[in-house]
Amino acid sequence: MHSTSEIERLYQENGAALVLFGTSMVGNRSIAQDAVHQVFLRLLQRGDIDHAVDQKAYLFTSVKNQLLNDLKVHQRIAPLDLESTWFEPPERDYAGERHLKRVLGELVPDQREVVILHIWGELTFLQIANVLGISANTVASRYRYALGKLREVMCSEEKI
Amino acid sequence: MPLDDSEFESYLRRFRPISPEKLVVKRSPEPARNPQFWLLCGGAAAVILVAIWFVAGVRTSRPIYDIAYRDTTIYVEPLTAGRANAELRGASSTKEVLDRMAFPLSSRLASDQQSAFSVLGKEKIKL
Repeated sequence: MHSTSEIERLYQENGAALVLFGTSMVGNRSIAQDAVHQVFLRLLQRGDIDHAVDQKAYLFTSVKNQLLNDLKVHQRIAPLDLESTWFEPPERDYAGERHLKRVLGELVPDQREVVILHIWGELTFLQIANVLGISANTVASRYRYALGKLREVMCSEEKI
Repeated sequence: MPLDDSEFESYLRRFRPISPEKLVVKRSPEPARNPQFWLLCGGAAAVILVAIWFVAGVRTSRPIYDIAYRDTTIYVEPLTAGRANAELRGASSTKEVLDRMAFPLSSRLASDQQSAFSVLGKEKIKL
């Protein structure tokens, strides 16, 4: 059985990626953060997530479902909020952070979700397939396309 | 020279997502007790007190005290030949004398009582 401290540890380890994933879905970081908090508060009330076979995939799926429910209730679909900070840039590379955010915003949502889940969520293609309800081959295809586009744009505009 | 996939992934991972706000869980205070709960508690306490009072009263009013009192009074006056003669002289029967000596505080038997001697005297005991 997972104690409260164990759930808090999961929040510390995955909270940032979960909020980033949520932000890429609904466009607004505050709404995404609310959804993540809702998911973890429910977990704390239950006291465990032992029922989840894959805890990490379960967390991302829960956040996705929470946001889809919020969208149904509030009918609020916002454009991607590129003004807020999404990343802590390495070596204070704030220009790089803005650039990455802009390029991510140019990706179609399906590809952006896959990239975020794999790069920053550290999920495997199979886990992503379970979260999004698509096949692992589709995930791999979307990822390859999205990564190629990111590299093309970023390498052409920056010397990396 | 363009980066290969793993190098580019490593480059992207250097950008760490911003940590979310700390998850603050407010511990809800103890819910206020229903007034009926306190009424029930009071009622239960009253019942317990009444039960204790009743049990204590029953114990103190046990006839043990009377028995002890009678026992002491029975043997306070030793039975002498003179006293036995005096008792028998004024009584109508030996049974009455024995009853009076056995139960000195109750001089007469109640209407629903009978002498143990009379009951035993009616029985035919075969030896």
